[in-house]
Amino acid sequence: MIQRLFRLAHKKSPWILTYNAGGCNGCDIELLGLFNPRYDIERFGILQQASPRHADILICTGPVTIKTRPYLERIYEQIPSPKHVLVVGSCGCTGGIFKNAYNVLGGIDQVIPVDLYLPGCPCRPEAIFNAVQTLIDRL
Amino acid sequence: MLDWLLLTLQMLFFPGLVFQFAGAMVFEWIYRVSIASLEGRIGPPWYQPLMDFLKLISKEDILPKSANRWAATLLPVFSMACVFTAGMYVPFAGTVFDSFEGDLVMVVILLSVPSLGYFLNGWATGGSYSLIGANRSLLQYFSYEVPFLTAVAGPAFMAGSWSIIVIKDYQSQFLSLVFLAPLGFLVALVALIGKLKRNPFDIPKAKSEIVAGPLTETSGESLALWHLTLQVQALIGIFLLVNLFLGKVYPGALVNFLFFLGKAVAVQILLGLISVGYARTSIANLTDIGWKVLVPLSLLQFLVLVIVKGLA
Amino acid sequence: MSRLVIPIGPQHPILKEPISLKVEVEGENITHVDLQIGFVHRGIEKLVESLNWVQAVPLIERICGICSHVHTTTYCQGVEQLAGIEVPKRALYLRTLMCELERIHSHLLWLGIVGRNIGQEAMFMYAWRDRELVMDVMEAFSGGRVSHQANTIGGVRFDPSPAETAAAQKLLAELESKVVALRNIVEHSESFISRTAGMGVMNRDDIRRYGLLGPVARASGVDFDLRRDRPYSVYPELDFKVIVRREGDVWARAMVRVEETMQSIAICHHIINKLPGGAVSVKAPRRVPVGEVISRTEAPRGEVVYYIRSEGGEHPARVKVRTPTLPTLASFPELLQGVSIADMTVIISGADLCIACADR
Repeated sequence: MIQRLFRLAHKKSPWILTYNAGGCNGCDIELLGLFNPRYDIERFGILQQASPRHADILICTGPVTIKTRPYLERIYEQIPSPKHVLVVGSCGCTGGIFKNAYNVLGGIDQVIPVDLYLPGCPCRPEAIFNAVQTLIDRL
Repeated sequence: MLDWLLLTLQMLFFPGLVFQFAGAMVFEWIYRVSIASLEGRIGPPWYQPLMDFLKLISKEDILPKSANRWAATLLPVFSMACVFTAGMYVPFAGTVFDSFEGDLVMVVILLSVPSLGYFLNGWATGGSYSLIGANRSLLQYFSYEVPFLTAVAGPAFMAGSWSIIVIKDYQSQFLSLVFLAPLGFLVALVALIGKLKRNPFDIPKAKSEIVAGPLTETSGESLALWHLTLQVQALIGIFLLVNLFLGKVYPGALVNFLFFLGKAVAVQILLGLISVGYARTSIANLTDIGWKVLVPLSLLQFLVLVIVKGLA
Repeated sequence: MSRLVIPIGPQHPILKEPISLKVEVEGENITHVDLQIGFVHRGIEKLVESLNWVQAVPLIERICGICSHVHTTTYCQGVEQLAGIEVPKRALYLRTLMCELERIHSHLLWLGIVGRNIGQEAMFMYAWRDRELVMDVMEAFSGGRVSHQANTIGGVRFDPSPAETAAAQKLLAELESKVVALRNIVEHSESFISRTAGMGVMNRDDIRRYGLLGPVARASGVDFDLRRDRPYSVYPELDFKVIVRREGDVWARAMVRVEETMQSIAICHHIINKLPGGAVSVKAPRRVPVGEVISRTEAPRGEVVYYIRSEGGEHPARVKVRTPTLPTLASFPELLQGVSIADMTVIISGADLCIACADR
């Protein structure tokens, strides 16, 4: 009973933390766009948190560059479990268009475990929201 | 035996834990929805604060190695206990757990304990954002606490008692005190925003500056308790203001209940309105506002009340 | 009071993109700033050399998500000049239209971010709500909200019908009334002014010394706009005003940007009214003759310069990008000296950083 209540709470209150691991900013502004009145993602209890310790879902954008790698790892470790990682954007999934660049390691999954991939360049806000919802439904 | 049972029930349910918890959740929701609607959004569903709370208490509680685990765990519990205790002595629509001469002073002191706990939490958990947030919260504490006390002293002086229920009953003979002491109400309201660390005085936890202030390194259960503390503090603070400044009692229990609730909700929405309308002040500005504007205003108000009482 | 080093970034709420500012504070005041960039460096300039001329366009678009169109415009403009391609008039008009739409989107985005960083969430909501209108226009034209894929060498890849341009004009008219409201907030809101006026003041000498560009320079009294002073594309045929203010603080930068948004909306109307008929692109050759060219455009954040060199093959031999954000970053350590943490956020966000542009 209590367990089920907690699970429901996890579904109804996913707090997100965004991290740009080296992308072009396109997905990030669409992500931030989710909070504007047109999409108003707070309707579903989704809030953007500033501190990794308060977050449940880490949303990563962009391919991992050599320089951001340690920071990405640290941010992931700082999030209290249960935690989930959502990758937004094609370049975060595989490296995408930057795959062959010399300073790019590849997708986010090279560094931290990923729960859901959302390709798209850049992803539309609706798609991002759908991905978050899919991730929540899996819990 | 029956007395003890009744007391326990009162502590647990009304006006104790359950009532205050539920009230805090509902009022938090009202606050968030009023902000959202002013910004042209829909806002969260009614169960949102409860879900946030449940989720946080079921999460892992991690602390940095440098943190003082004992302090970080006990501080939120202690702060929460203080605000819940304060809530027992603030009448809700005329009903109160207990009252005695001087309970107003006790409530004010109990309501200010979480601010100190907040400050200590910043030091206990470590981390540079937390330290700066802790410093700021202490500075903020010194700027709003004095005006708050002076503003609250006005109604007490008029009623000639430091008991909240006496002050409230005093108003039912005439008008609500807000008409006699509008400045005092305003000062108390602004000081209350500072107490609750809400925008525009969310300086200790300014998101774009120091991430989450003293709570940056706090997670899981402790964070849930901190949020609950601040929410209950908001509820009790609003009830206190309504009792002191808008305390007119209306005939009929139900009518009185509805009026009380309406006033409290109105104050909460007013807080939301202020939060939308203003940008965050800087800490230097806040001390200026506190000592150069609020304190003189509240003293002036007190003077007016003294004159009025002398004439009457 | 003891010294404390607070790390701003690479993950921090005021930064959408990772840079790292190690800020040493004494109490509330900053005594030293250690700036680190390069977190978003992907090596695009090198990667471009492995692609052919046309393939490079989508990659260059992804240098930056906010001003994606300006980058491709500058690149295509340079390559067209190098290859001697005569671009149809309609294509140039449409290209410029997209540039101006992007300027509107970028400035409104910035206004929202500043609102959010000074703790006025409502401003963020209003600015971003209104920004959705211009996103709709861009999406209707090119199919993309952020990355448009609108440019190609020799023209553009979209050809709006008269019905589409009429719909766009309607949306732009609606946007204009909302931007007027936003300008009133910026100009008269006591709360906004008290947080931004007098912050991060830079005079003309500072601007020269650091080589700052765009709205930041224009807010400090530097009357320079590439669109007017070194006209390219179809700008000579359009009339618009260059907004200049003398205060040099964050508030002036906000005013310059809001006024520029108004100007851009006017330009968009102008372009749509004057839009000539004809083809939107010509076929580009696979090989570009040997030579080098410098292509300059005015991006939302200032001047973007591309140096393109061809050795006669199918691939660019060198594409060097210079974006306006880098000098802005360089000015931070001095600009942030002695200000408080609260003002620091205003100054950082007031500069309108685009790290993806700067690091590439």
